[in-house]
Amino acid sequence: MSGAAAVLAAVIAAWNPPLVASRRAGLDGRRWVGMTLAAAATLGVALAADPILDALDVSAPTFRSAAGAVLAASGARWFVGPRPKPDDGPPLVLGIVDVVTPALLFAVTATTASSGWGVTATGVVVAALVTAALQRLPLPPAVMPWLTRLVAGGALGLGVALIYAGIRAV
Amino acid sequence: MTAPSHPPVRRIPVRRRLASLGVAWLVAAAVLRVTMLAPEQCPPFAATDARAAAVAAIDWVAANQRADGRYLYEYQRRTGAASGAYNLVRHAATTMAVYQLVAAGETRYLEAADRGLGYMLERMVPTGEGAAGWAEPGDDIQLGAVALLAKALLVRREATGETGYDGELRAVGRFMVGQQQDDGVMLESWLAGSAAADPTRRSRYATGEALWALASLHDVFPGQGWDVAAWRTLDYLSLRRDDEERLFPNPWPDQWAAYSLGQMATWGLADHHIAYARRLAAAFGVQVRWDAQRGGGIASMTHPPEPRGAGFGTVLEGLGSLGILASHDERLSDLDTVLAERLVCGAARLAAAQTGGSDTVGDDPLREVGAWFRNDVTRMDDQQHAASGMLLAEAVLAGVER
Repeated sequence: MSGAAAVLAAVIAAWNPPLVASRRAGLDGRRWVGMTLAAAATLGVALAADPILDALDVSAPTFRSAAGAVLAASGARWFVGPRPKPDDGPPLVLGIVDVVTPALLFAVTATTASSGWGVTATGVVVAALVTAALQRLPLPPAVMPWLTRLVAGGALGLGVALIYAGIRAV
Repeated sequence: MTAPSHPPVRRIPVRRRLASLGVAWLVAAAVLRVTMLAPEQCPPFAATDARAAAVAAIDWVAANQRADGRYLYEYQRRTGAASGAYNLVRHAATTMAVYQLVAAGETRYLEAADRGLGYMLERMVPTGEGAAGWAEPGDDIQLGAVALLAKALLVRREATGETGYDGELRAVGRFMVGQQQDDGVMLESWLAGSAAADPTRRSRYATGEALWALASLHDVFPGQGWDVAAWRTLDYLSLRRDDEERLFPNPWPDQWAAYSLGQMATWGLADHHIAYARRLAAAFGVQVRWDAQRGGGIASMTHPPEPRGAGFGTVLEGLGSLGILASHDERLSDLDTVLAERLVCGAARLAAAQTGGSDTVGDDPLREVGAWFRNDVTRMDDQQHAASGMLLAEAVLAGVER
């Protein structure tokens, strides 16, 4: 998977905007700050994709398959798991926890290694914007869980595609 | 005015979120590190190491050769038992590998190679219209054995500059063309009883072997039409073979097809040939990555099986041959470096598994040193494929024009 559209889809699916939006009760500015910091940190990790792979002694295709497995497992969990609920705690921390997941960090590292940082960063920004839009839109309560499962299904499929892409690379 | 009524929602404490996130990270990291993310281990390796491994392998071949030119076929080092079986295709391939080492400058092996060649030439059989194959007396002729005889003769010609066997080369070339169908399919056998090709049998190996030989014939004898047959079979391999013959995995990691693509690198390959080469490259590359993750401990259990010299040698041959193509064709230039990396890594790992002088376990070190054993058994093609692959790795490491 090296096409820009596929990279964008993988990063957005790994973020899962409906899931993150479902956890946010109200428009707490500190939580947004936390989410923004986490997104920036995620992009920083992506920038270090090559040194990370070197440190792990793995090639980019091998990491791509592993990232696919993590994304697929996350997608499956989101798909069959309980409905997301709002949580309670320091908003700044919650904003970070919403975003910094194994699925996203593996996805951004893998896509940066294969397709470059620019398209990966675009995916992160789009995911954040979609999250904000979902938070603000007056959607019926029943919609968000279904949107979450829709993206989860996409994450599952894209995860499998990433595994395959890693196997089908030199 | 009353507040809007919402159903009560139980909020998740942040500590629980953090704890579940931490557990998810730990579990994912631990599981992945011993499975899909196990480190890929590529020992340091130099051109001299590759040459030494190839020489040791061919030393085993030559040291265990019989006076009539046959090689030791299969050997069990714990019991000291040598198999009574023999395979003519592997005999031809092993002879070719010995000539490859001669061509690389190790001329002391020429006598052993010529003895192996003599075994084949003594069994040549005319098949009509100036064509000839070879087989044990009265047996059917196998296309693969003939194709690799042709390659052995071609490498010998390159190594020695002698042209004395050009007549035989053309005769076996005509045999291969006679086995070809209009759609590029190559028939595996020529039946001695009916003096005709068997239309029912194909081989996943012989088709590529014949293609490589035909392409090499064209390079040595241009203008004689060998390229027409080569293009036809290359199209069959690139577009239809794996599906029609229901090979798994698809693409079948066919190092003979890779050799052919490397041989035809400057012929002006079409895009579908390049696409096939790209798929083949992935099929070989993933095998090196997988094996490189088979370190110690749990990772050795999660990355089975331990490869044998023959199987892993073919991977090196495939990577080296496609590397030649990538170095000549800019459509594959993005693979040039990574193919070289995989080839060198694979060669380093294979060399590490070669039996050295201090690794012997049986009573006959001559039948062990230089060989690759799995379950205490080695077969001559373990040494043949490995030696050919090592020479390709040596060329990459030495920066030799390929």
